[in-house]
Amino acid sequence: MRITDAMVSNNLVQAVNKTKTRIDKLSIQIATQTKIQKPSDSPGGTIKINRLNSQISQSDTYTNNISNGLSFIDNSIMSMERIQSETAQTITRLTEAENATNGGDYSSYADSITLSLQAIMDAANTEYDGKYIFGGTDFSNVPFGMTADQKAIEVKANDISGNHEIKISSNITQKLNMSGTEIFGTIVKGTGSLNKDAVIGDVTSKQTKVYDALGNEYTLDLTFTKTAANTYSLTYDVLDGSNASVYSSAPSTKEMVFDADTNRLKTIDGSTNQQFNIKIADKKIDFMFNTATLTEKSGASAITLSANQKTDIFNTLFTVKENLRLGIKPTTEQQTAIADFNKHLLAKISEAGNVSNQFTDVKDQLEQQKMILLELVSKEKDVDVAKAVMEMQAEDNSLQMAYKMSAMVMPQSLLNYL
Amino acid sequence: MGISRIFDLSQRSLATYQQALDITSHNIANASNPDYSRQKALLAAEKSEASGSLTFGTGVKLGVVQRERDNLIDSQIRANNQKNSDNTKRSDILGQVEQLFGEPSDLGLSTMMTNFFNSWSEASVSPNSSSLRYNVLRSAENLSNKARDIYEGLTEIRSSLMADAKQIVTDVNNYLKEIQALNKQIFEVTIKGQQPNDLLDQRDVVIDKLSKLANVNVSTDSSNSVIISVGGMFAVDKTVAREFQLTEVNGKLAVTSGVDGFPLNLTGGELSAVSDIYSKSIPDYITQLDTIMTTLSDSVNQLHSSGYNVNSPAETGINFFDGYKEGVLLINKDLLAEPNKIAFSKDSTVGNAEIATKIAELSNKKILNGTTLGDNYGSLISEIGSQKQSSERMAEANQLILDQLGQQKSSISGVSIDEEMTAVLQYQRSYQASAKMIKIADEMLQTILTMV
Repeated sequence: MRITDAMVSNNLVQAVNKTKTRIDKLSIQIATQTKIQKPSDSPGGTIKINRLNSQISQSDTYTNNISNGLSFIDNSIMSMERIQSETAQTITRLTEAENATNGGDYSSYADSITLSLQAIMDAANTEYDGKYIFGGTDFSNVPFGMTADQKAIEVKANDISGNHEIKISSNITQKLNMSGTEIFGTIVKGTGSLNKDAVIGDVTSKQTKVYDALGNEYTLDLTFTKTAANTYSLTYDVLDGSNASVYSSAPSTKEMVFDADTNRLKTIDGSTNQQFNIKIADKKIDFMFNTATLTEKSGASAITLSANQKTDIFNTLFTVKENLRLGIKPTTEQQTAIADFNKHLLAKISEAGNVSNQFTDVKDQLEQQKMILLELVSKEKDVDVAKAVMEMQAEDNSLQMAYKMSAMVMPQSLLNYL
Repeated sequence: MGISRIFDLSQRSLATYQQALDITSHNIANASNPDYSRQKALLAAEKSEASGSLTFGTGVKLGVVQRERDNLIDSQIRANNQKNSDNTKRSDILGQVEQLFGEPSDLGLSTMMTNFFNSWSEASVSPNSSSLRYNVLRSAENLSNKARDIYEGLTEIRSSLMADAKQIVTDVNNYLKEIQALNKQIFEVTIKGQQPNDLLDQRDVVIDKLSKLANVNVSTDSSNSVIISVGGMFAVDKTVAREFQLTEVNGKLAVTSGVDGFPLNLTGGELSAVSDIYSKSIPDYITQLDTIMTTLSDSVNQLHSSGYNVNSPAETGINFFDGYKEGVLLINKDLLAEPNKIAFSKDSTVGNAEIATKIAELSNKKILNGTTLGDNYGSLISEIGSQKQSSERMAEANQLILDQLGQQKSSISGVSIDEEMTAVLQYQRSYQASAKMIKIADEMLQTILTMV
């Protein structure tokens, strides 16, 4: 093969160019510490990095959500502990009041209960970060306050039953708050099943006792009428002692739809919220009707209705206080109601503690997960600097050798010897 | 047989070696000219003369000035030129495209999309917070700006490709005219029985340039004229040079002949890369981006419009985005003016953030082509990256072949100074020897004259 002068110089230029290209690539990698600068450096790697970075960012968001949520839960627990402490003191006071040596003067106990009631009200209306801790999802008004006639305590906000749910991981959405209804409210629970095989038009009726804030008794009358497969209309009424409706106009009928496969209640009036509020302000009647454990299955309808309490803790204490001022000792039923509330509160504190623990556990998991994700990003993206420097050194040696060889060979020709 | 014959023979020899030295000198002068094909003086014995029963030679002559060229290598170089310039151009353009997306980095659309959904998740913890509402709007604006930047960037690249294509077609037409003119000159020289070596070099240079712009097919006729077709269509011979035109129909580029209007079948050269990326790749990227952004906008709106804001009375049925059109993801102006109108709540209470949570969850929902928006975007990035990587590697492979072919061409057609200097010495010695023969003949003649 003929070797021309152009071939020698072209070969040198090509070799030097290739070496310089590799040196350029290595120097960028060493300077930026990353081996993927653009998608074409590694299309698969780019997708992986984007996906991992997205997961890391989501993980950071969940961690922030948890940190913020934990503060809210800690505040909720503190408030509940305060209420529980006051409730426990009240129980002790009322036990003391039972003691015959106190004669008929219960004013000091009434004063003490007044203070406890104020403290409980204050804790129940605690605000954190612009949110009423026990206000459900309605922050428009303080949750609890005195009625206009100062004779009872009522819910001032529109609805204190709302659940505030937040995402704490890609698969976990956790309820953050303890709603006012959950802690203080009266909940009438419907348990049992409606007949899945019943013909359209079939009617199931059920009644239970409910009470107003002053302890007066009423009847809650419920009627389930089958309107289509897996669908029922629910009409309800609250009746007074003479079986007359306390409503000036009948409340609207609700449509309940059950899941044909799971038999569970799917929606009430199109909403997945499985409880609704029955509130008649002028009668001081306010309770939730909860249908979460209501199902539909083959066989005769069998529904039971039960309430967690007759009256809420505020009005119970208010009545006890008023009675004590009149020299009337608290009834056993009242003392039991307060003790039950205390137990219920302890259970809720424990529940909130569990949520707090869950948050902490998930946060730890997220932090661990983040470490793993960061390591995976590093593996995909980061340069092995030592290796890159060694390669750079080798390329530099090649370049110097090429220069040296060209300096030796290129200037030579026959002309030098003629 | 006289002494004068020695004079004639030596004189012819002197002239021949002088011509040979001319050719060598021409070679040396063009030693650094990469487009030059070395020429070789092929010496031949002159026609001999018969005298009685004997035949005497009449010296040397310059038979042919041979142009050292291998047509097979030339055609291989042109074929690889087409592929190499196609892939190189493709790689360059796709390099610009991938830069627009800014991946992988914190400034890419992927991060903006993640931040947008995360802002909803963060807001869901404190749905009553004004600052978190602003945060949602800012992240939406960042997402919108990035999407617009990408869209505008793609549109700008497409516009520049149109200008590029026009220039390439103009260059093609100019090269065809040059080739036709050179064909004509070469034909005129050839029919005179001369060798148009330098004209052939000039024409080869233009053909090589043309082969970088489009896929060409080159054939040579008996009169040394080349007949070239571009994109499967006749383009030039020694009498005609066609003029091609660039047209755009339904967003697709086509190069047509001014004669019949049929489009060229472009399979190589820069024109193929430009036309393909203009007509197919960029519209495809834009369509994919549009689909992702439209799905995002529609999905967010569907949830947002079902939620309630914190105004009193709570409003519902409000879209978060005014839609996505031509790269612009429009955020509802009412929300920008009054962030309280952003709907987080499903039941109209301030503390309910179910809608915000559901919008945040869209990030992981398979809402487009059975995959998440992020994965769809990842596929787009991967597609661009793979196409760029593939054309880059192909271009490197083509360049390697071209380098090798270039070396082979240089080995045959290139000038070697050593070789030429050796030839100079040879011709110089032959010239000196011929001169010596004239001196000897002269001395012989002097000897005869002194005898008279």
